[in-house]
Amino acid sequence: MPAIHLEDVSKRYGEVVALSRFHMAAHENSITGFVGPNGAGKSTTLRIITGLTRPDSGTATVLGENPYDNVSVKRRLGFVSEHDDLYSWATVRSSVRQLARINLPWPSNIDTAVDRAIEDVGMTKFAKRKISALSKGMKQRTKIAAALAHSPSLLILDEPLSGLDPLGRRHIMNLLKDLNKNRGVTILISSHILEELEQIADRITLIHRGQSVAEGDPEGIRRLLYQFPHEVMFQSRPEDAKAIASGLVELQEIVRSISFAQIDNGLTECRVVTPQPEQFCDELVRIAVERHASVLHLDTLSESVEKLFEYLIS
Amino acid sequence: MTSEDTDETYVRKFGFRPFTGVRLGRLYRIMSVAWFNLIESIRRSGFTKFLLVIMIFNLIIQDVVIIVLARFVPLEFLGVTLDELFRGAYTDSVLGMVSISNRITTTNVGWTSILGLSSAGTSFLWLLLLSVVGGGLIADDKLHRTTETYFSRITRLEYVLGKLLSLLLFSAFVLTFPAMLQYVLLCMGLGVGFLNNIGLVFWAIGFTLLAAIALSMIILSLSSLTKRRSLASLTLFIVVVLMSSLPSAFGLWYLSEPVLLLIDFVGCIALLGAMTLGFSYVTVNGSQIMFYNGLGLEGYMVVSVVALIFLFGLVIMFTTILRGDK
Repeated sequence: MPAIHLEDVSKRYGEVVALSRFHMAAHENSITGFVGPNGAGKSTTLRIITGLTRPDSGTATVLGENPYDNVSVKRRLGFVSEHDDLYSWATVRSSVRQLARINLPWPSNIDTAVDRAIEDVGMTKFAKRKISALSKGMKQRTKIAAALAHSPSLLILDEPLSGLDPLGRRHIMNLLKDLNKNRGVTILISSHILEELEQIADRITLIHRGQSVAEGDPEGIRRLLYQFPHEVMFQSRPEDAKAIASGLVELQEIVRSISFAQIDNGLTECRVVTPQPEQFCDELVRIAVERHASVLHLDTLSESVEKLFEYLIS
Repeated sequence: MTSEDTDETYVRKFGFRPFTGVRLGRLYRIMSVAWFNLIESIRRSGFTKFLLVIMIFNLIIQDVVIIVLARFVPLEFLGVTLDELFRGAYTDSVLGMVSISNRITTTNVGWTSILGLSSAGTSFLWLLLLSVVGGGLIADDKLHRTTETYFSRITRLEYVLGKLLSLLLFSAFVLTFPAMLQYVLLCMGLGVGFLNNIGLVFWAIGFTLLAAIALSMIILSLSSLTKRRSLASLTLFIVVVLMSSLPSAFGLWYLSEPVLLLIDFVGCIALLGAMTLGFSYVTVNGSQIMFYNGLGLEGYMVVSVVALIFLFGLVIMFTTILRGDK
């Protein structure tokens, strides 16, 4: 039985349709990634799952129950909001403590629970530090500690990796993996960056304009995305561009189209549409080396999530 | 954890020790919210701590006045029985704790009004403390967007009740407890048995809590309308003081039209307190107010004003907080 099951869920805020017959499922003891561009309906979905808002139509079931304002569900749920929703004047410890106390099972020792949660996220050394003095990553860890302290069976994280440096992201991802693996916590994590979630999620749901556009394991989603025509741009001197272009013509499997343009600084700009940008870049380097040509500037132009989702819908 | 600042250490040492047991009920969750907010409100603000210290000094002075007067004013001189003196002194003192700038006296014994006067400081400090503490209770949550975190753990009703309870606990500490303490001190000072007027203690508890609920609901309502705690605090303080001062500011007109007192909605709670003790008239700032004579300010008007305060508080607080989907 799925820990989270949304069936034909719709939600509208005035004229704005946030969700339209949306469906998704997150299975117990799994990590489900939830990916979509800004404004796709991710936060609305999470608000429905956490019982903060009620769908206009459709069915939402979380841990076997209707989550809206349902304490039975809330008790077993840990929620990490996308906002910096900690009191700036409070310390790490008091922030975790205030929320842990509310739903901590009796007879647990509140101090032990708080200390464990803080230790679990590696914040023991900073437990007495004020929230206002923490970095973004530390705040995220504090929020996760607050969500973990009462031993939830379902952890929901709204964009927990946004704004973190690579090390901070790795910390959080390792933490979530261990939570799922060792404690059996079901995790639903949202992000607008697919690559982040591919590394930890068992399943991924893609949402766009309030509709689920794809659902499956990370490999399946990746295969689907390989069909997406990425646009890569590079700049070279005209003679080098000509040499590279003659080599690119041979790469028919990964090059769909090539266009050239003369730009102001006397260089030639080449735009290539390819479903496999990484492989294309490797090939580009190989060709340039073979033909003693130089690439002065290289960029991927069509990585916008919005374009990707438009492609998936079409 | 010895080196959580290194890359992998804390993850490697990460251990899972889930808690098991019974999740406690609604009352516990409300208490949890109330207690945290109460403690944090006091702990975070130096001004609140300063006001609390002033409040304690004020209460000591207020109690000393009672004991000194009770010791040194001869009973024969006042022309009342000991029991009447006790009841008048205590009632006036407790009413004075709530009535802000208008002094309410229930007896004709002159000096008991001094007790009401001595408790004026308490009423101002209580109002100021409640404004400072209560102003941020919901406004801060809106500012920091903590409401979502709360609502993911408790129901909206529990959240509101938790916030209200934290203010009630605070008022109980700065208002109800001193009122009870005064009873004990006055009994000791006048040599009256503790059980002789025990009903007054229950009245004082009920009355101070009623006043606390009314004012708490208003400050929470204001707090729920803004993200700026200072705005909510200042609004409550200024409005209450203004409403309390306006009747006497009208001078002679007020003496002929005591109905003006109704705009002092906090004072009306004090008048209601006197009515619940069975008084058919009280003296407000030296002017006698009859509750049931069919002229000017009447008892039912006082009840209506207090009911309106509750209605106002309930409507704003619950519509702002309990509306789920925006």
